[in-house]
Amino acid sequence: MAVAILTDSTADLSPSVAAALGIHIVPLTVRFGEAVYRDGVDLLPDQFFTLLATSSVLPRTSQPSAGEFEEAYRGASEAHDAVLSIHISARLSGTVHSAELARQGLTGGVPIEIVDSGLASMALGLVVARVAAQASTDASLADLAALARDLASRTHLLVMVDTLDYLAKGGRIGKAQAFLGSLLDVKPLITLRDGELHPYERARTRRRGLDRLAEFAGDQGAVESLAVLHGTTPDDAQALLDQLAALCPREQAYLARYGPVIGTHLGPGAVGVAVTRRS
Amino acid sequence: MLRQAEALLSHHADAINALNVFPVPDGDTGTNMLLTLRAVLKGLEASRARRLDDVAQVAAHSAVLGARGNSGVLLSQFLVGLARSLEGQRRADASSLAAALVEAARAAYAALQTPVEGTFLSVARAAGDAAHAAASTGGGLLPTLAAAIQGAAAAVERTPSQLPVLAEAGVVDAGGLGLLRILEGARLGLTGEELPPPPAAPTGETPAVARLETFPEEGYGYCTEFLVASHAEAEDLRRVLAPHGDSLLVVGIPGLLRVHIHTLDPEAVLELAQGAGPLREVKVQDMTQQHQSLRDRGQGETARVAIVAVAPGDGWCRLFLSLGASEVVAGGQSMNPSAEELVRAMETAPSDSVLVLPNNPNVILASEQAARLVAKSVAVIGSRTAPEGIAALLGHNLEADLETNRRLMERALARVHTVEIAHAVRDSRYRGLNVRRGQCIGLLDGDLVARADELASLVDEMLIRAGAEGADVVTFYYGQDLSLAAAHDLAERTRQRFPHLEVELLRGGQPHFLLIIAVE
Repeated sequence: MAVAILTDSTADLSPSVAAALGIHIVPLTVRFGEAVYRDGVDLLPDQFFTLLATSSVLPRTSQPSAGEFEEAYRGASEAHDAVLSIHISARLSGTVHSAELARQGLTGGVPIEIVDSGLASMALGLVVARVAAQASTDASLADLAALARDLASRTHLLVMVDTLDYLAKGGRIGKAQAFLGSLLDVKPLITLRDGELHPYERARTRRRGLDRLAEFAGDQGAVESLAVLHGTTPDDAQALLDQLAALCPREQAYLARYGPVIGTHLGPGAVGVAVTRRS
Repeated sequence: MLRQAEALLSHHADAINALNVFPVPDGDTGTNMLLTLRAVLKGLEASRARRLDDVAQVAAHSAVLGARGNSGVLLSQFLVGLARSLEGQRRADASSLAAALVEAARAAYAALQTPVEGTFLSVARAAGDAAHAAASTGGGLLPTLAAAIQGAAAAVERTPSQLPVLAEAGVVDAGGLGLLRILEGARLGLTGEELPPPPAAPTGETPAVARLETFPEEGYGYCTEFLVASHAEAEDLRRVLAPHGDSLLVVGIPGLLRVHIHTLDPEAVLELAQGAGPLREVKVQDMTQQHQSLRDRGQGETARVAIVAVAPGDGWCRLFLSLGASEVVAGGQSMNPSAEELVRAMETAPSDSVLVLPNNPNVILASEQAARLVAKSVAVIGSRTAPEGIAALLGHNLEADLETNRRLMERALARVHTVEIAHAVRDSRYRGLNVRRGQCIGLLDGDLVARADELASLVDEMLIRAGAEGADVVTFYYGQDLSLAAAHDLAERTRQRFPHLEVELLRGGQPHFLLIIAVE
């Protein structure tokens, strides 16, 4: 059975990885005032961070429309027997909702299964990449969907942000709002739990925060795959990845850059680590 | 008996405070023991106990709750042992008194993980031993007590030979002397003799009993900061803005001034400043709301683990609350909180699991005592300074349980070094250092290591000792006795001398210590 694997741009998968694994990506949109861009299509990270620094308005993000999903599903159906659509947590974005609407409008076509990963950024990306690799075998839609859910349940994310301002203004701060109002300049470390952001710890300095990220990855036990993500600090990310090299095979360790949509909510300077544990 | 003990102790409290080896009013032993004893008297007044054993029980219980500082805790445990031994007895004779004193000493020793000779403990033991010897050779009650006192007095004299720091400072142990005075007072209570007149006041000391430290009403209002592109003189702008608020700071380079002010009317301030030039980076924070919402946030949902912090100043209080402590107990340097105050904070904390940050070595024991009095799971973190408390609080993991957090927070606080700077309140000699009253003294992680005539050079020296050269960030917390302007200058100077460092300046509001500096 040929199953098409589909995700959205918040997975932060690089174009080369996506292409190599045959993953279809549905872009969200980023708006700077009147200018509207499709994430990863019309606007790439470099451009985005420049705009972010220079624009007088803050960007806003929107989920793909049901129409865009419909188009994506139709396209995927042409060469495949089924579609598995794995997306960013429904508590962080209405993307899954749009996907559901599109599916409802496409009765009679190939079977489409939609999975709310409860994750975002490379945590989602790791799950999708792994499922896509499995999809090249003859696995069924049901098996792949089960695999996606299983991987999601053992994938964890910890991110150090420079400031909580972007998360607060973008409305995605979730339980991490407990860290707001600090009178001391600290680096918040936040994690995903139950599909939303939760406060984890705080680091006094960026250096300590990076160390804590490395420790977090090391504490996960046996690792199946991992990713280090950054927005504007590739050197920090590379150094962190080097530190974690021993944890899993090189092909399963990714260095990723978060894109415009995730960047709108994290801001510049954030560094994170996503880990899928072995079952 | 106890009343006379208290009266005698109060006469001597100043003298005992003066025995503190550190020339800083740091958890004054005399005051702590006196206040603990006063709590005992209050407890007795409120109770109807008449029998000896009941009185002893009430006294012990009140002492445990009212214990302040290490010496207060030791005294309370001493009374616990005393009460335990006297159980079932209506009155005491020589041998039961001796047994009680022996048991009291044992209980005091048991209170510490690492008991140290040359302190309250050795004096207590000597009193018990001497009483035992007198009673077993057939002495009566009064002679036995007198023997105990003699034994105690000799032990007090011996303390300098047991603890080198005492010898060097030329003093006896404060806690031991306090116990001696209590026993002497008790004897006077028994015999009905008059108290001798109080000794002449030691030169220029802090008053015998510190006022109850509540945090003064902070100038609530709006914390307003901005830059103004102006060629006006900082002095002129300062004069213009000064009537509109406090904590005013105007600094800058030609053409650009930075203003910081706490005001009830930020609009007026901004309007005035605009007269000097265009404004940039305007930040206005509602401090009242912040303070209130900080307190409210703590009371919100039941957290997994709640945190109680002891704060030595109003700025610290706000800081701890802003970082997620749900309860803050006022803990000034010479006014350690009582076990009861800590109990109340632990009980109010919105969780059945509570972490306590004592932030002072003299509060750790009282916190552990308080922890045993509440029906909750309590972990007392060994934070000895406020910066250690902050570091521990940052290391608190909101997803982990109590025990995991204990480990994480202890680990976090081990990574910060604390510098505390004060003016010496008396002449002293400590570990080879001669300190003159009025000099600036520097403590590193609680230990006196340096002194200087000039504040700025002491700050430099202490920063280096604290490892500033290899550190990333240094935080200056200025106290009540240092102006914002002076603190700002010191911070600036530090930025020049250590360009790799990030230097932050915050108001701590603590008494006695001009500066508390965190180096990490």
